Amino acid sequence: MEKNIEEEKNIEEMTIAEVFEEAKKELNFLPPIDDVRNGFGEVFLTTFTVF
Amino acid sequence: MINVEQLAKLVGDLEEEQAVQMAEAFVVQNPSKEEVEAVVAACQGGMETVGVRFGTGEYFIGDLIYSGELLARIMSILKPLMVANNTSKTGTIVLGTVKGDLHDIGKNIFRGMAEAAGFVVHDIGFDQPASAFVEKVREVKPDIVGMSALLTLALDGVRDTVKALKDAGVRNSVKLIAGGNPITPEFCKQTGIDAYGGNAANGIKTCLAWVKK
Amino acid sequence: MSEYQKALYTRTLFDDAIGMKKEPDRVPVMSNAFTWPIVISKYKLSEVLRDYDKLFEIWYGFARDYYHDSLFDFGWRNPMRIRDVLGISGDYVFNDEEGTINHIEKHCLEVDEYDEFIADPRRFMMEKFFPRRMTNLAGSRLNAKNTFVAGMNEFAALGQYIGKLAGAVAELGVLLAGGGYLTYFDIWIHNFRGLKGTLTDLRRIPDKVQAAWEKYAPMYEFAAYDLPFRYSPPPPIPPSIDIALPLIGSGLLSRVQFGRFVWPQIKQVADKATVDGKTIMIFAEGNVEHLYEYFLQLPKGVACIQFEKDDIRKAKAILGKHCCIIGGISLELLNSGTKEQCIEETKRLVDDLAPGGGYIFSEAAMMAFKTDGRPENVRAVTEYVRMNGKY
Repeated sequence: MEKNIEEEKNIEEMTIAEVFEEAKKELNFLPPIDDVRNGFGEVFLTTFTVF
Repeated sequence: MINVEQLAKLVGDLEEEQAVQMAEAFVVQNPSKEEVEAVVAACQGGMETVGVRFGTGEYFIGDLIYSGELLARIMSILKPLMVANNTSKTGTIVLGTVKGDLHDIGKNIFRGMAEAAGFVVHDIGFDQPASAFVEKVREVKPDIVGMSALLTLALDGVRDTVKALKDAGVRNSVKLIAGGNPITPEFCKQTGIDAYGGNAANGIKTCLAWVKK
Repeated sequence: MSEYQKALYTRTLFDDAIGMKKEPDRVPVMSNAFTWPIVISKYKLSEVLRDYDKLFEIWYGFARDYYHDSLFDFGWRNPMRIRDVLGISGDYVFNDEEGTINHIEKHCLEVDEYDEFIADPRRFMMEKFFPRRMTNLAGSRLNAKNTFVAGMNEFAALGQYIGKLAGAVAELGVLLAGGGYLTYFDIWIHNFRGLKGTLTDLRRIPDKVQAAWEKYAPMYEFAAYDLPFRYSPPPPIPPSIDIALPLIGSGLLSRVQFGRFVWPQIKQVADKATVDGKTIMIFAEGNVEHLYEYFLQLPKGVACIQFEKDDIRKAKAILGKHCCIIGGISLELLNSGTKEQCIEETKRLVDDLAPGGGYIFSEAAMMAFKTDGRPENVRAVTEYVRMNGKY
């Protein structure tokens, strides 16, 4: 319980960029390979810059 | 003193900064009503050049859109002079993009040029149902109603507006003009529209001819 | 033939047409249908675009019931579920009765923010652009994180739908078109500065715009080109063409402005694609005859160009020895003509445009409304090319 509150507090102090990094960790379909997750994240952001 | 030919050339050449400088220098000279009218005519002349160059393919749609912005900027510089000099109003136009269409760039260019020509323009905006046109016509009793449409689908909106003006009994008190990509002279004839807008400069010419009668 | 073999055959048709070295086995057919199959169905537009099962039903049905070799749009054009969770659906105005979607431009970059963007584009994107664009990022950081997670999960669901559709239509010998790549001009007008804003910026502060694009380019090139086309393994089912490059607003520019602000990027990606063995489909909206001098500078054999308002025979005469032409039958004819008239016209088009290769048949413009064509006519013309388009 205490740990969760601590994590949430940390999130609220983050920049949006840091929040995005946190979000990448929680995707429910990618293997825990950073390069793949990062690549996917980049494609997502780029695509939704326009679409 | 202002070189109106030079100003017209700068507007036609889309040389915004130089045209703006000329307009700004002109305003502080406390010009006469006639001089103000000459300057406005020069801007119109420049826009006519833009229209011609667009017709020959030298200028493209992007240039046309930009010319609207250039004109708007110059007109905003000249506006205090026009109000102060009470430049006699040429006529009144109710203008809008019809229902089903959110495009407004062509309409805005036409408005800018109409105002430069001395028209009072009541722009009711885009995606306007026929009833909105009728309401505004009843309210301001304009000389002219201008309809803009860019989507082929919106041609129904143009037809509906013409019909609504007829049904409201105001059709014969106004002149109708329409413009935009899908509008053609044939369409205007079939729909009972008095004139085909073509490019904005041509449309303004038509409107001026109407009010001078 | 296995599904993969069928897919390879179709891919070869497109490769041969684009490669310009030999005539393909027959004239390939690219579909130009966007929302048409949806608006002629029993479903509502806004409903289908949010339901992958319905999208699959519509697009698989479209592949099955007509004779196109490739689908260009198949639901990616309006990914409403993703837009919903990110909070960008508000920019899209639906009219289900008329079957229209209107996009309202957003200005996520103000004219006095160019310097800030140029100084640190990544930071600007994260701290200003995305919160302005994706309204659901507002509120707490926790909420923002959940929005990002939901958005990316939905993005993956779109990918799964595409993969499922690709596999299913491959059985029919039909391929999907490949990934999108946009010009910076088109990206700019869509959500950075709008059309009027971008056009005036290019006149008033062209150096700043170009500096901004130069700074934005590494991010964009990495995600839109390098990752999918250089670093990722090829997809199990090939697309018909690898890179879909739309020219939306770019065609509004004069030849001088196009040459200065758009062409260098297109030339660069065409050169890259040549090196990587990828094909490009340039999808040109409006009339782009004033840009033919640039198309003639494309490396030969890498690109095909879809024309909308151009005189397609003139395009073939000028460009035909250099790049593959896509185009064909007018929507007015598909909607108001008889089957016989449509087939007559299709025959004329194929006879005039196909000899020598370098030609892909398609509907002449984006099919979005019910009145863009009658199903029996679309079936008749695509079937005609399938049966009679052999070299």
